[in-house]
This record gives sequence, structure tokens and C-alpha cells, in this order.
Amino acid sequence: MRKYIVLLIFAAAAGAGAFLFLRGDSDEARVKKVIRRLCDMTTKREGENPAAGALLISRTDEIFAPEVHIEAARGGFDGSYTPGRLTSELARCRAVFRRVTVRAQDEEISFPEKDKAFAVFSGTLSGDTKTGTSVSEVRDVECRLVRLDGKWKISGMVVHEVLER
Amino acid sequence: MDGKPGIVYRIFHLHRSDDDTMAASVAEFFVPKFNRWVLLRMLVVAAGALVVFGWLLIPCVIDGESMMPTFPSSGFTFCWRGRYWFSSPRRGDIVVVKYVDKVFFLKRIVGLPGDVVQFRRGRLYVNDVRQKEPYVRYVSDWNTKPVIVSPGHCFVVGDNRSQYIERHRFGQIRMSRIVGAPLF
Repeated sequence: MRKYIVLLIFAAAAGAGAFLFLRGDSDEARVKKVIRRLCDMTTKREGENPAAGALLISRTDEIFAPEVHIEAARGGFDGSYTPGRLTSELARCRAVFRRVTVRAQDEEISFPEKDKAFAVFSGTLSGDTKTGTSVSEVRDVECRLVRLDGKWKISGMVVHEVLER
Repeated sequence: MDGKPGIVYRIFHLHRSDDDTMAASVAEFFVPKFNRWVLLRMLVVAAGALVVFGWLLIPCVIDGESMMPTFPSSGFTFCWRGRYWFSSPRRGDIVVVKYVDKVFFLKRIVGLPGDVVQFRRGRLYVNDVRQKEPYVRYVSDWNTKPVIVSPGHCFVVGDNRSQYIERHRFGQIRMSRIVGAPLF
């Protein structure tokens, strides 16, 4: 009896491992990884080394397509951007904060066409500005992604208020 | 039965104690002698509570006036997650909307995808038809532009319209933000 229980535990562990391995390689997991990297690029820890921060945001071309169209409910960010311009915009935004954390939650990912993905998630931003103001905001974010050279990249973003009048 | 209690009886301590008196059995239930069955009982109860109160019936503290008088400005309810497992939200439903991690809004659905929602001098119009809202006791003078509810969204508003329009949080939200309905 004990032999069967041990075998059952091993089979369950192997099944779970295989599931996680296969799931980690799916398109959905890759799109989630791009969203996570976007959040990591925006997040700034207290006392962050400026060189490390600059290096982190210099890799925008790894997650953004050559042309990215952005629409925002507030903030005056509407327009088309290149990864290079996004790097400078990110640097400008991060410079305002002493520390800032950006998180994506409740991601819903769909693939409307081949090599195209659509992700909707709840984006939360919390942090303290250098002037001492605490900021805590929540937005609904829609991301359009395209697969370029086998990699998923963001080609468009629309930022909505959670309760839009 | 051979006199030995079964596993369910052992875990939940439903068998009579050795001296076979009800009082002793009740005392043993509430202040048990620690053994492996008591440990198992604690684990089963903890796991059950985690599933029920962490996922099915989320305890919510009401803190806000936006749903008065249907809900008081402070109180307690549970969010029943199963409310929309087999049906879709409808106009007039009171729903619990997830805002961020542990912050939820309690609101009433007044518009579904494709509806045109507008307030004119405090009266609610959906698709240009004035709505009867017996649950609204505190009137307002709100005026808003007509809003066409986007696909996959619904329009929510609180019952307390006496608040300043700037202070009252209402508008269209993603349907996926609806996590359930208040239990009572």
C-alpha cells in the first residue's frame, strides 16, 4: 500500500512539473512575461543606482515594437512613440519618484489573429514623489502585441480609468 | 459498529467521551485533549474556512455612503462569488466590483453593453427612456453627457445620488471586475 502511495505522489509531482514546464513555454506565458518586464522597467526601488536604472530602461526595444501607439485617459501621453523615445519618457517619469512600484493584476490574454495578442489588465502604481507626495493609482490597461522575429512586443497601449464616465 | 468510532466521528469528535455523559462530551468538544485527531480536525476546519471565506464568501466591511439607503454607510456583508456562475449581470443588480487588491466597490448596474446612459437633472435615462428607480431616496441634480456602454463593460452607479457628482464614483467598468454580489 505504501509503495502505491509513493508512486502516486511521484506521478502527481511529475504531472505538475510537466504542466508548469509546458505552460511556461506557451504564448500566454510569454505575453505575461512582456507585461511583467514592462512593470519591472517602470518600478524604481528606493536608493536605486542611477546607472542600473538607466541600463534597465535602455532595453525598451526588447518589449516594444518599432512604433507604439499610446492613448491615455489622463497625462498627455497620447501619440506614437519609438522605443528610444519611450526610454526618455520612462526616465523622465521615474525621475519624478523617489520610489515607485507598478504591478499588473488580473491579466486577460486573447489571440485575435495569428501573431497578434490582446492583453487587458489592471495596472496599479504606488509610490512617493521626490517632493514627498504619496501616489496611488489604478487603471485598466489594454495592450496590443505583435510577434516580431519570434518575440512578443507591445505595439499599442490604451489606458482607461477604472470607472469611466 | 464494533465500538470504535469512525474517522469522521474521530475528526469532529462526535462520539461520546469515555465516561459517556453529554456534559463531558461537550466539554471535550470545546476543550479537547490534544491528539492527532484534534490536529486533523483543526486542519480540516482551517482548510474549509480558507476556501469558504477566502474564495466563496469574501467578508466585506462597508465603509462609504454611495449605496445609502440600500446599504448603510458602515456595516458588514459577504461577497457571494457564485452569483454570476450561471447567469449574466442584469440591469438593477447590486454588484461587488474589484478596484484594487482588497478594495471593492458596492454599486448598482444601470447600463449594459450598447446602452446609452445619461443623467438629466438627476433623473436616470437609459436609451432615452427615463428609469424608475424606487431604491433612490436621495435625489440629485446631476447632469452628464450620454455615454454608450462599451462591449464587455457595464455602467454602475450608487443609490445615493445626493452626493456631489465629483465625489460619487460611477461610470462604466469592465465586466471582469465584477467579482460577485452582496449576500445580504
